[in-house]
Amino acid sequence: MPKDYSEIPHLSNDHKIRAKHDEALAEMLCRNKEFSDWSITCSFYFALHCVDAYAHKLRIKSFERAPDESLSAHGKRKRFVRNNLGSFFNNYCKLYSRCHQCRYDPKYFKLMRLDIPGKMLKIAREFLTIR
Amino acid sequence: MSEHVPGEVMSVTIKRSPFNFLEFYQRLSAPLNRKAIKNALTLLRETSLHLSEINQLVIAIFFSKIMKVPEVKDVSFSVNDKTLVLFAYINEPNGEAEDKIYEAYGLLLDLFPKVDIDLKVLELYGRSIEELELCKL
Repeated sequence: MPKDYSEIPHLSNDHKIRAKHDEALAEMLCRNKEFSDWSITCSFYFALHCVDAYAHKLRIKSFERAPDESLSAHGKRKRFVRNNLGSFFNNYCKLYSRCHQCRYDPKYFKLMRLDIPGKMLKIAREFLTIR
Repeated sequence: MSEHVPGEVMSVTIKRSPFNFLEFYQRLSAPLNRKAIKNALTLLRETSLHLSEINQLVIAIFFSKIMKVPEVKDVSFSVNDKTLVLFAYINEPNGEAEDKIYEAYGLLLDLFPKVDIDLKVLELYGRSIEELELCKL
């Protein structure tokens, strides 16, 4: 077993490939008016994998919570965005919150403003500029 | 939380906090309205909620920042295992208001590096906050 993720150079690239995969599904769902709410969840994970690709590039081992740690994986990732990708922080939070509401709010898909899935995909695409 | 002493709330709390309070105080003094924080802390103390001192302070600072944003209809919180989850309710998407909320949240993350603080901004679309109770997972 490798000691840490920095010894697995392909991981950053794997996350980029996964990000593109999620982007493609987000785009497909965005065009489908009936299920465009799910596009928001795909857009969030698209952005998340862009963040993880960058984290691996910086040799961050993992965002998982260790048993004695207070910060959750999502909490650690958000702090990583805040501290290392500051200009993306607000947009990351927008995607995170809407992804949550899409999945747990039973009426959201009916009430949601129709321009939101497209807007969320657009801001997720900005994460592709992370180098 | 220590007994409320008018005008000395922040110093009492900070002295008992487990992190570098000098740095904390320096960050705190510029962007925050201490009177608003004091009022929020007083309100929290009047509830029967059992919150740690640090969580009370996080919530009070968040309230003090967010109450100035007119699009925010209400705020609430829950404690889930080790995570303090904050909720801000807006009626519908509003980029500018959301940016203000996330700026306040970012400040909390900077001020409390060891506290797991989550934030969810929920859209009401004319509904009451109670209708979204099950979304607070």
